[in-house]
Amino acid sequence: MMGEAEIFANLLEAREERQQRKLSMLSGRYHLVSLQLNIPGLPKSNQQLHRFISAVDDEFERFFTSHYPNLQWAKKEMFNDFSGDCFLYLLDQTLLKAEDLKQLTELFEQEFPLGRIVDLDVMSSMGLPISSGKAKKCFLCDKAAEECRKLQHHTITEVRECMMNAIGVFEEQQRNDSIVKSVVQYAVNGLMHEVALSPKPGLVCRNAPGAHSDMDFMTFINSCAALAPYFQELATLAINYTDKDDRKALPYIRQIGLKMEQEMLRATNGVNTHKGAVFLMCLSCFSCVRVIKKVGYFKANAFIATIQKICNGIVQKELCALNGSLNLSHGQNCFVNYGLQGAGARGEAEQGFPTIFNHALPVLSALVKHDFFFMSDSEMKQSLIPVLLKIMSVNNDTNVLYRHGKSVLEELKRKSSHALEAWKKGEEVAYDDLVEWCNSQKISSGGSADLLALTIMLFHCKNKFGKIRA
Amino acid sequence: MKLITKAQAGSFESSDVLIMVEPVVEGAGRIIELKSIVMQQFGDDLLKQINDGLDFYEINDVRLIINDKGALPPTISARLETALKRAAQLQTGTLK
Repeated sequence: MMGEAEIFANLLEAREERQQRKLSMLSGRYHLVSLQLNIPGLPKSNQQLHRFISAVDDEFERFFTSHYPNLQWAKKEMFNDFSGDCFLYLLDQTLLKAEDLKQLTELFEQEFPLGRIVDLDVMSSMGLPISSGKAKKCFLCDKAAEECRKLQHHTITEVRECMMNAIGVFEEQQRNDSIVKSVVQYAVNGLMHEVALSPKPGLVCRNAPGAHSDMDFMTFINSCAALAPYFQELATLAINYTDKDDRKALPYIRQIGLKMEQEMLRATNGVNTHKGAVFLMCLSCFSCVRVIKKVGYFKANAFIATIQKICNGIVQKELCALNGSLNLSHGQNCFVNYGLQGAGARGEAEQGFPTIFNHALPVLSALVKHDFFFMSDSEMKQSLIPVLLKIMSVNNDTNVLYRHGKSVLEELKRKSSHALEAWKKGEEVAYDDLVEWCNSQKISSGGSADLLALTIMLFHCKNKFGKIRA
Repeated sequence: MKLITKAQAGSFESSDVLIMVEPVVEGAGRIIELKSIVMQQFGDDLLKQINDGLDFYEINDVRLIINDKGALPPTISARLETALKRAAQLQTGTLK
């Protein structure tokens, strides 16, 4: 253990060396900006502080580029010594006056939420520190920071603790933001890849409307774009959701879901492109964000449990209790006619997406050898068609059940299963036959398409937020 | 203490002070140029601390250029001591 005197001497020495290091970099040619943290007490650096200053560096780089898009640092350096972590940026002195650089760093300190913790110093190419003459405010009270320090208004422990807490909050917000944006991206990604996959049996594809006459690829593009902003709303609802009881979330999720249906119909001129998908995706968006935030990673079992809790009793409440109601949706009609086999998206959700977790996801995970985002069109097709076929071979799709009845559904499942087996052996003919059969018979398994979109979304969530194996 | 050469200690880092020492002819007295970001409130305290330090080392003739970035008294003492000892060629680092 270092004694207090030794620590103090080490700090003083580190500061002198730091100054020497800075001066030696100028060579009369560069202005220098240094980024340091202003944290009292020890240690001056630890994992959290290092993460934080790296995040500040990231923000500052963007800030600099957005104000001076044509300028680039001549050199950038990161180092760590006894007085903490430090980033140094060198700028050719012919490009900008040191005073302007100082103005920029001050603006950053003002606008950055934790600017009071951040020290951005500017040194001119002549080795002179550029000072603004403005006094920084104390982190705890609104007095001048230097006054509080000199008069020791607050203890070092007090200030340090307060700063570390603020950094913790900042990091949590950053993480929340990243969870929300990623999950939203994955939801949209799933919908887009589903419709883009071509050819598909009976479903709307890039060049063909499949079994449909009232919609085509463009209708889906319009629909996807209309839905996208609402995934953000859902994810935000989930990140701010404080009620411990997930069962109470369904009406809040539905409020957004109903808005999505309206927007979808407006964007598609009244055609139902994504109603089932909206239901599944809304639940998943919410539950994904909830689980990642609560558990710390995407834990499939926790996700399934959350979905099950939210949808607990939904089949009973919304399908069994329909006796004699008018204006039934297709899904509801199906249940009236076919019982549990016609429970559709609600049944799938109440059970926690068994079709996806037991059938679809394992197939997709086995087929995506490298990064999903690096896959070409044809690789994507090779990876997604088996997943769709797997889903179609087990899913009691109420779209098919409602329009064509039980025997056609069973035949479709059989044919899909057969096409999948053939596909695995490299024979695509059976798949082409299935596409042809569905198109000509006007059989479109929209429910399976929805599950494919959801599988893709959950695949991404699992990859990005899955537990990192040691 | 006898000052032999120009020397300095400290830095422009925040909460630090940069002190430059220059020997002058005997009888010239203490010439102190002080700049501080807390000049208004703490300028006098600072100057007193510096003079006390010079008294302690029995230095009556010296030029000091002090640029203070909000250093606390222990830092100021340490930097003054090092700067003087370097000028007297008694040490090079902060401790040795």
